[in-house]
Amino acid sequence: MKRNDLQFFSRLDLFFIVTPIFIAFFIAAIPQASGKNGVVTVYISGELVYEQPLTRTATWVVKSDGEYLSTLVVDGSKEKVKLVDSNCPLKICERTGWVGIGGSIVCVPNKIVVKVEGKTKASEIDIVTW
Amino acid sequence: MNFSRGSTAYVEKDEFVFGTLVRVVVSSEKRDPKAIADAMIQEMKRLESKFHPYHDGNSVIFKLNHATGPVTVDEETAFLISKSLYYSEITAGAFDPALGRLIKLWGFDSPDTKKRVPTSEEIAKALESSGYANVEIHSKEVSLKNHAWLDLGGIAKGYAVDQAVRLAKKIDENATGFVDAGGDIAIIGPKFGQFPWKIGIRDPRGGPQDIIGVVYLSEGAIATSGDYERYFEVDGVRYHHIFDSKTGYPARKSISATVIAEKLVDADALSTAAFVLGWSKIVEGFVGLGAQAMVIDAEGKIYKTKGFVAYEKE
Amino acid sequence: MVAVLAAFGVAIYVVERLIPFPLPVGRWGLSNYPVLTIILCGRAPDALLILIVKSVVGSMIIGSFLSPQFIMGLGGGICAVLAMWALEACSNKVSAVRVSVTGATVNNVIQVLIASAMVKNWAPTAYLPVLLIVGEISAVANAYLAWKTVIILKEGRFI
Repeated sequence: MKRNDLQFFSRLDLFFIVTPIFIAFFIAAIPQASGKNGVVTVYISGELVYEQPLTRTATWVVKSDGEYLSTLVVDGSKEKVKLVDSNCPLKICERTGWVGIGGSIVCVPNKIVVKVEGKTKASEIDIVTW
Repeated sequence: MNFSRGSTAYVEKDEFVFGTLVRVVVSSEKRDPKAIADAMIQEMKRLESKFHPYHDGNSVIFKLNHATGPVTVDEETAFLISKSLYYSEITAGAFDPALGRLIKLWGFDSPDTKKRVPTSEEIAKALESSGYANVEIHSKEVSLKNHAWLDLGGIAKGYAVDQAVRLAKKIDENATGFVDAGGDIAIIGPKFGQFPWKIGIRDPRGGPQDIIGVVYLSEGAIATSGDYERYFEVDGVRYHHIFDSKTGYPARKSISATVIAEKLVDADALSTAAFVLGWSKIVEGFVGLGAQAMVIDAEGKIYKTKGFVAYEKE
Repeated sequence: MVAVLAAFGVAIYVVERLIPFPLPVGRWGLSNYPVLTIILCGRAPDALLILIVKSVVGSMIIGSFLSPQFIMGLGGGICAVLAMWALEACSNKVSAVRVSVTGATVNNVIQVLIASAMVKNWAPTAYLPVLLIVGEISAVANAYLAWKTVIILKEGRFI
């Protein structure tokens, strides 16, 4: 033992205890500021082909090997996306309609998956049965 | 302190199998969860090609449908056909694995087939070659009468998912996660090893993210059949993909039926049957098979078995 | 003595997993008690040794050796030891609570940063507030135990 002055607690320690609590509250406050942001991703046959922020209004033509498949519409103000003018027979993807954060649109014949990724509340559901 | 209790790392893998997007979400502390997910998807693809009724290749069912006499099948196929017939009998034909001709006539055999409303003569003719009474199985020898076609679609997907879950458990018995096969879900293990998965039941008349109820599952399986999954419209009438074997037309008694069971193969078959039957004594009797059901009738009224309510609490 | 403390660390590391934790991930961090004790004895280099032994042997027993959690735990642990070492070396009057709390905080922050780097997004930081506060609770408990241990060791003239 190098020294004999080991204490359990000193007044200065309060500073060391309070600082992490401050950091904790500071970090806890951040997600609310950036929590609404989402990213729209488009996959064809499992491969990521397109990505853009949910808040930017845009349309994007979904093509595979030069062949037209469908059109992605992103409404930045509503923060929702949908697929329109699909060349698939049943148009299930079009009927899915507008989808927001945590949702997805699937076009089985064209193997397209559109996902709206982003922070969802912890209380929200994990899976949907349909 | 460190992140060693249950790993946070859920691996998610999407793949188109059984005509739908199958999502495998799995975590394992012992093995690479990505390898487990890959193995599971491979298993489901194997079973897809084995049981695909309308496309050749390795399909046992295709061979059966195009054979002229009895065919001896492997044990797995015999098990699945027997299971289908069992569910046909206890649901008075509401679940029927021998509607292949009818399904093909309406165009629901493949997403690429043109859908149309057949004439009543065509339907009557297809019905003559449909129905589980035309299927005979003696141990492993299967014969189809009246040119009937088997379509195990209502049960093969559930079976394949169950097998995939079993495989995951074989690789790591403590693996957790779930398989979501187009809204039909089987649980591998509880979330982070300790919480139930929170599962929303889709509102049949709402948007894709609108739910009408929530259930909590740590194990077992849940399947829903709805008239909004696959359908086409002619003159404002919706024609969906689940047929009433008695009429040859899409079933109209309910718009959504959800069943919770231990295995997805059971939940799959029973949700189809419940959808066709509507709320009835037979559906209430599912409880005796260890299954719970919720049915929404054509007016939007919701019916539940008593045990179903127990799953609505966390 | 290093061997005894290391063995103790391994035992706590394994048993600690069974104690309920408020988050789906993480643990209380009580296995850092032997590490803290040796630092308070003024033998920081030995602390690194104890840390590595308890992480490697402990994770081998529970089957998480070389898993992401193991890498996070060890990375956080090493940084924590270095921080505690620096704190202890820079002042000649030091308190158990201060060293322990600093170690716990550095440990948690580094682990979350490693986790964020591994998954390539900032999602793991969402756990940090709870981890920090829980970390403080066990840090104070560890400090008390380590402080008592050091006194006993001194009275017995083991060091």
